Amino acid sequence: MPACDLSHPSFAELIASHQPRLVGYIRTMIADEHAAKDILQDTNMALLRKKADFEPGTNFTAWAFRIAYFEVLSWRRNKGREKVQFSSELVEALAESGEQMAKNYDTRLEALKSCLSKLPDRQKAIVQRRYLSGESVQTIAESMGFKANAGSQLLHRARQNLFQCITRLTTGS
Amino acid sequence: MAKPTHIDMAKTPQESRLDELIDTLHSGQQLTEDEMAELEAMLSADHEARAHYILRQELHTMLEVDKSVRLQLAIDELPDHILTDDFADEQVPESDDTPAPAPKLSRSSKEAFRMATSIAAMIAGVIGMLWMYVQVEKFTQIEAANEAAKKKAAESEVAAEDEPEKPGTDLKEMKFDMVDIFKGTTKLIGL
Repeated sequence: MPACDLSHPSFAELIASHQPRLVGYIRTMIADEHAAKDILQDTNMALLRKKADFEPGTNFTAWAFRIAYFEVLSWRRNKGREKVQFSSELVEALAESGEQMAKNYDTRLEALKSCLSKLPDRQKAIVQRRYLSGESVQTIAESMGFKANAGSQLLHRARQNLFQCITRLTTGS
Repeated sequence: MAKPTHIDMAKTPQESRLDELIDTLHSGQQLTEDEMAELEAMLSADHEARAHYILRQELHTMLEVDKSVRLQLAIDELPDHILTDDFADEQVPESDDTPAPAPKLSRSSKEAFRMATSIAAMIAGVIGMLWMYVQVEKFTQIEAANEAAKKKAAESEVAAEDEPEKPGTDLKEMKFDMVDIFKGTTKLIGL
């Protein structure tokens, strides 16, 4: 097994900067938030173990996604039997689409940052409280004076607006 | 089973249903076996549905995990006046070469400074006057002592012509007792 060398800052930085897109990729294949975080940790360990296999200058995202995909398959073999999950065919199709779509991740990320400032005030407030402060939708809804279901609707509309805004900015449609 | 959250006329029932299932996932709930089968059927059959699902998962993850997005959210949360109004009157140098203006005192600081200066000048004046008074007093005493010594010496000059002359107190030997001066000063200003 190759030695785990954390003294290579660029490699450690690559892993750190890829955490959001890796967990997003894993989530698409495992429809379970908690399991996705466990698999992300396993993937990070695997990336460090296989560091010597990575050739600097090549596509780190594609390499890391491949390792994450194998970690997903491993999880499905070992622990996934207890849970409801997608078929192997769908997981493979999602992995392939995810890898293709990751190429424009940075463009969509920049678009999202721009779109956040365009949200109506109430939608922006619920997005901030849900994602930045980590409050539950029910707590936010109660403090804003409406029922939990109305809070879910407001958050849904905010996500929809962000999604449409990102699509407009990245596709020009 | 996820409850319908809203009706969007621009979307087909299937697209709306897909969004509902994704929302359920993002609320942290587990999908039931039936819901998972429903989602699997939608994603397997339609490439666009799959792309939509992946992008929505990605958006949720960006909002939840990406540090730059969270920073943007935190900046948006700040009240506008913190970012603008409070600094509207500040003079900012146009370039690094332009020296920054000297810090200015507020009106209340200026008043306090002026008053402190006046008090200090008054105390200095009192000390100066007291010092002069003590000097004059000592000078007078020394002069009187010298005169008395001269007179006494003249009277006994004949009688004790062979005896050595006693040294008199001279101005050069005058010593100023600063402790006395400050004691006098503090009494005078009532401290």
